Amino acid sequence: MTWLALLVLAQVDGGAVEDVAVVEDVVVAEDVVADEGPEGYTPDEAQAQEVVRFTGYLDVGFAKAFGNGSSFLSSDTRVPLDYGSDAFAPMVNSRGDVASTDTQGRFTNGFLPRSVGIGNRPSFLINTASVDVRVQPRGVPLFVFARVQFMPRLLPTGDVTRVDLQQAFGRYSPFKAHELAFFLGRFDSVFGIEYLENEANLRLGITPSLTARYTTGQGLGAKLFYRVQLPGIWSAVSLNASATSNGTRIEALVPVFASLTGALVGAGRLGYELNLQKLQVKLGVSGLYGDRSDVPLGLGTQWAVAGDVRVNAFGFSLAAELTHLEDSKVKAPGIATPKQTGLGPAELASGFAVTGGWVRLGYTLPWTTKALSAATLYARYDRREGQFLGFTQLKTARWTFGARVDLWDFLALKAEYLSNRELAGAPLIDNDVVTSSAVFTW
Amino acid sequence: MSRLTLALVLLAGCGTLPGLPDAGANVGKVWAVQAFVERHGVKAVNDAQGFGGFAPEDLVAAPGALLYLDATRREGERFGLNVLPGVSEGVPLGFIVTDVWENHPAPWVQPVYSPVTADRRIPIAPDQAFTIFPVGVASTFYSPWWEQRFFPIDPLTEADRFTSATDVLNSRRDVTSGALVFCPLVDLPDGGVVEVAGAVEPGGAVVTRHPLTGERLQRPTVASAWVDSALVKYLRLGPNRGRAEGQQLVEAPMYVFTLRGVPLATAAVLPAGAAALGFKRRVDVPLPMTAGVFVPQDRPEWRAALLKRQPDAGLDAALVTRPDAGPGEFHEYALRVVQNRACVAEPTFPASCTWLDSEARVMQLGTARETNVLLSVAVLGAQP
Repeated sequence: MTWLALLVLAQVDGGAVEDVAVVEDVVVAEDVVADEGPEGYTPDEAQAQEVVRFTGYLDVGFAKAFGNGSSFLSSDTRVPLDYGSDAFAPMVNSRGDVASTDTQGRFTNGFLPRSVGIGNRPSFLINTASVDVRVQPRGVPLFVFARVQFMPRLLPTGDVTRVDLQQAFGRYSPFKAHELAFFLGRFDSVFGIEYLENEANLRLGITPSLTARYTTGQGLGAKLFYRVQLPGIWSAVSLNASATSNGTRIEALVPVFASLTGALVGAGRLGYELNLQKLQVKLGVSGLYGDRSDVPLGLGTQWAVAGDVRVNAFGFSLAAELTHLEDSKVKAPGIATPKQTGLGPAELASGFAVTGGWVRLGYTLPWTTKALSAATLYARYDRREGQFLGFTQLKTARWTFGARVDLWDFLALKAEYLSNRELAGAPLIDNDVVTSSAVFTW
Repeated sequence: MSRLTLALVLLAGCGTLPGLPDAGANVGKVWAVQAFVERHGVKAVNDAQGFGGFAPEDLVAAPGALLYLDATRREGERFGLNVLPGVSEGVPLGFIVTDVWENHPAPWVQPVYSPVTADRRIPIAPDQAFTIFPVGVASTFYSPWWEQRFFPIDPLTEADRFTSATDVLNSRRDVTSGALVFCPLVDLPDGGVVEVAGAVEPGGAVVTRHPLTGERLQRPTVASAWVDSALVKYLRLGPNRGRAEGQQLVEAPMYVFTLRGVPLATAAVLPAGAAALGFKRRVDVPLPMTAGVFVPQDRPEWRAALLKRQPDAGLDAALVTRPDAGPGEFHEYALRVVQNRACVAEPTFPASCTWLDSEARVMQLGTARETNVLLSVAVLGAQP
């Protein structure tokens, strides 16, 4: 299959970095700029072969959450507070940051998202300023990618602005004629499909699903991607597998940049795709197994399975994912071990199980102009049933309705309403969100 | 070996990283009464089967078994928490242990929802509308200490309406705070229940007595409650048994004499006001070289119990008695520690002895050492 066909496939996937593994070899080469400085500096041989390209995006948001901006009921004194409510529900941006995690001094145990700290106050936000750098040495089957992101944040406790090296990997593609690539470093998840929309400029809507926290984290380790094209039946089969120190959960839940636990987690997805002119169908199954990433090595295991489907036809896009994940309780009965999370240590680790998923239907209007690249309406339904061992099971759901308008292939304007529902276990609370986002891609 | 293979091998090199706590150092345990029953029959005290220095049979008596330190009275048809001997400010007392934490963070206080009448906010009898606990013993955050939260209901129409903490929270009713209460969950997986140990006495009543003095003690009742819409049983030990600051418990010491690091089955020394400070930390006090443990001569089973816990020649030599004492005489001093065992032979006994039976006397030794064992202790008052 030609590189052009691969590029089309990559765009259908949302253009995530992993899926353009082969495409990069071609696209980046087109953007070669001679490294000729004003002083007439002549680079050495290695430098002369380097091709560097910078891209990125800026995500500016405006959000308003209802209630107190968190999922915590003021009269709820259960311990820990984050085991009895879904703190991840009132998301305001594509990072999954929530409007508030203010507990008013109540005890929590390391099951919290990051917060933008606006509570129920409407506010503009710099959700993310993201810079990518790609280095593709000419004539060498290597590729280096790094993504640095800036997240200005102000909480009532003070400035908590972060700079995150969200991805940084080297890729080795040994064969020009085969889509086989090995990665080392920090890279996107290989589990399920939602990670493909991690970035605001790639995500159709604004906020991640209720199960994104388990599947969309960037892992630190090694990865393999292999895809076999079956041109006779317009199909392809792919394998994406990784061994990482932190699994596939988001960085707020597990430590990323060092293995504080010694654990190693294997994950993978086997995918099939059918690519016809008017119809694309993609199916996948994912699995994950390894030691728990939040307790010392050998004290617990984690495993997960998922299935996903995507169908694109006649302007409609349907995507769905169903995930089940379990953390074993620690091996000795009643054992008590501090839990390590990306936000710091928590007091105790508990057994945990969750089943959840989402289904999203989008429709791209059939009108475009020179300025209007695309206009899409979408709705998504999320469902999550999670339970820490010994605690009540939380059954929550969410309806998300939104619209996205793409202008000049440079600006995406998005608006979204999140209707969060507490079906059982979690106390009823007003934590709906109205949010919007302007994403400038460069 | 390729670069990638090398990297995978390095990544797979699973060991604890330098400078980080290893698993062994972090191992902590928490045991509730269900664990005492589960491990009953295990004889070891100091190995992994023990509970913070107590053997399972120290803490709970099996159905039909002899009661702790008692060669004549047998437990009834259910498991019973043994009454252990203690002393506070020179006064003997009896207590039960319901939970043991070892190498474990101090537990947090959970809310417990207690129904009251909507009109006058009078507590409703526990058998008419059940109390609601938010978590059970399977939870990592279970403890028997709860902050009472009163919520109003109509007992005639709503007695069965609320069966979970979520139900109460969702009702948005005016919940008011109450006292810290001590309510260990005592239902067993097989449908049984653990009570306080006691024996059937003439007249048919089950009576709990102090194991050394024979004094009749109050016997807390067992009641039903909801945990996440499932019925459980709990021991109604009630308020004024502990203190909390916010959702964190205030601990008090419980002094335990040791020999060669092994906790002895002597009477534990509790500080003044022990009954109101039920969340304890075990503080070990090495038995002084000259000290003795008083054992009345008419109760050889007490001597046997001490040596069973620590079969050591040094302890055998430290067990002192009064051969001339009559039956039942000096039992209130049984299993207490004297600073110099020679005093027991003096004619003025027991006044001749310096008894290490108060916090002040124990602390004067200067050898007390805090352990990483926390306990929930309920002192049982005398039956009026």
